[in-house]
Amino acid sequence: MKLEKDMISNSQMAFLLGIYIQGAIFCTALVFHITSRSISLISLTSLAVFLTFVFVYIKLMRLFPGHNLMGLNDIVFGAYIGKAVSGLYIFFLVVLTVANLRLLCDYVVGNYMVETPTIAIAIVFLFVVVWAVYAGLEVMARIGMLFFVIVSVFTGVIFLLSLSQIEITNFLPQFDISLIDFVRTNHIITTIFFGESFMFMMFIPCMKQQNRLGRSLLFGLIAGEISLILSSLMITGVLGDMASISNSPLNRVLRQVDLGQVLSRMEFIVTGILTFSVFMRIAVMYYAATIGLGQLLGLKSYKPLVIPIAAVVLGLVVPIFYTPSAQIACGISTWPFFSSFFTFVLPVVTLLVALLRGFFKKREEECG
Amino acid sequence: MIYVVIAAYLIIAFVGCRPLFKKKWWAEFAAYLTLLTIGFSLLTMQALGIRVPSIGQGIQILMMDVLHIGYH
Repeated sequence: MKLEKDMISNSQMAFLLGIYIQGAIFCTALVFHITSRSISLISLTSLAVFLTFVFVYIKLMRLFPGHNLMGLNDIVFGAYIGKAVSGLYIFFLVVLTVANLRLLCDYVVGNYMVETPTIAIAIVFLFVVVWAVYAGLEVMARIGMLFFVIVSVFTGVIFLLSLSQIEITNFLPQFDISLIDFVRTNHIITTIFFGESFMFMMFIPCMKQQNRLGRSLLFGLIAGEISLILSSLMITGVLGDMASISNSPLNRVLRQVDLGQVLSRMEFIVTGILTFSVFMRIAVMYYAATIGLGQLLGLKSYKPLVIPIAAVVLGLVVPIFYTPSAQIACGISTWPFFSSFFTFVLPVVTLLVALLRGFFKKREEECG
Repeated sequence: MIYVVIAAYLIIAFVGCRPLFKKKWWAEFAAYLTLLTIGFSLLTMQALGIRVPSIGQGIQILMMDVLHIGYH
C-alpha cells in the first residue's frame, strides 16, 4: 500500500531532483581533499557512470508501475526478505539524513555560531524540515521549484562575482592524478553527489506522466550537474591547490570577492545556497525515510512517524561523528563503499532477481 | 538538561498520542511510542554524559577493519 497520495508534475519532479543534487555542492570539500584541478571534468564522467544506474532505476519503476521502492521489494523478494531489504534502505535513509544534518550544523557552528551547541542548530533546522514533511510531497515539490531557481541564480551570481579572481593557471595541468585517485574521485562524486538520489524511486509513482520519466530525471541531473561544475570551476580557479586544505571552499572563494571595496563579505550568498539546498535535501531524505517506514509497518498514514523519527535523528546527530574531520575522513575513505551498497548494488540485485523470477515476461504479457 | 529532555518527551508523547488514542490507531500508536522512546533514550544518554556509540565510527570500523574495504 502506497502511503503517498499527492501527485506532482514531471517538471516539479525534475526541479526537486535538481535542488537535491545542488544540495551536494557542500560536499565538494570531500573531493578537493584528493585533487583540486580536474573536479569539473571528473564530475562529467561521474554523471555518465551514474546514468547507467539511472537506467536500472527507470527499468525497475517501469517493471512495477504504481509501486515505489518499498513496494517493489515486497514483490521481487517476497514478504519477508522484501521487508528486510526495505528495512536496510530505511536504516540508510535515516543515517543519510543524520549525516547531512550534521554537515549543515558543522558548517554553521564552524563558520558563524562558534559557541552554539550543535544540537541547538539541529533542533531549529529539523523543526522546519518536520514542518515541510508534514505538508507532504506536493508542497515540498512546489517549494523545491522556487528554491531551485533561487539557488541557480545565486550560483550564477557568485560565479560572475568571482570571475575576476579566477586564474587560468590554477586549472593546469588537467588530469595530473593517478588512476586510483581518478577512480576514487569518480566513486565519491557518483555516490555522494548523484547516487544518493536513488531515493527518488520512492516518489516516482507519484509523477503524473510516467512516460516522460527519463526526460524529467535527466533534466534534474543535468541541472544539478551544471551547478556542481560552476562551483568546482570557481573553487579551482580562485583557490587552486589551497582548496584541498579548506573545509568550506565555496565560502573561502566568496571571501576573496572584493569589487571596488563595495561588494565584499559575500559569504551570505553561500549560506543562502546552503540553507535552501540542504534544507530540500534533508527534507527529501527525511520524507523518504518516513513514508518508507510507514509502509513497512503497514500504517495508514506516515504522519504519526514524523516526530518520532525527528527524535531519533536528533539523538543521533551529535554522536554520528565525534568531530567534523572524522566525517570528512569517513566520506573520502569508506562512505562511498557503504553508500554504493544501497544506491547501486541493491537496485541492480533487485533487477536481476526480477529478471530471474520472470517479471519481465509477465510485464510483456500484460502489455500485450 | 536531563529534566528538559524528559519534559520534552512527556509533552510530545502526550500531545502526539491523543489523536491516535481517539481514533484507535494502535499500530500507529505502537510505532510512535517505540521510535520516540528510542530517540529520547539517545538524547537522555547524551544529557547524562553517557557515550553513545557513533554510527559513523561504526561504519568506518565495519568497512575498514571487518570487511577490509575502503580507500587508504
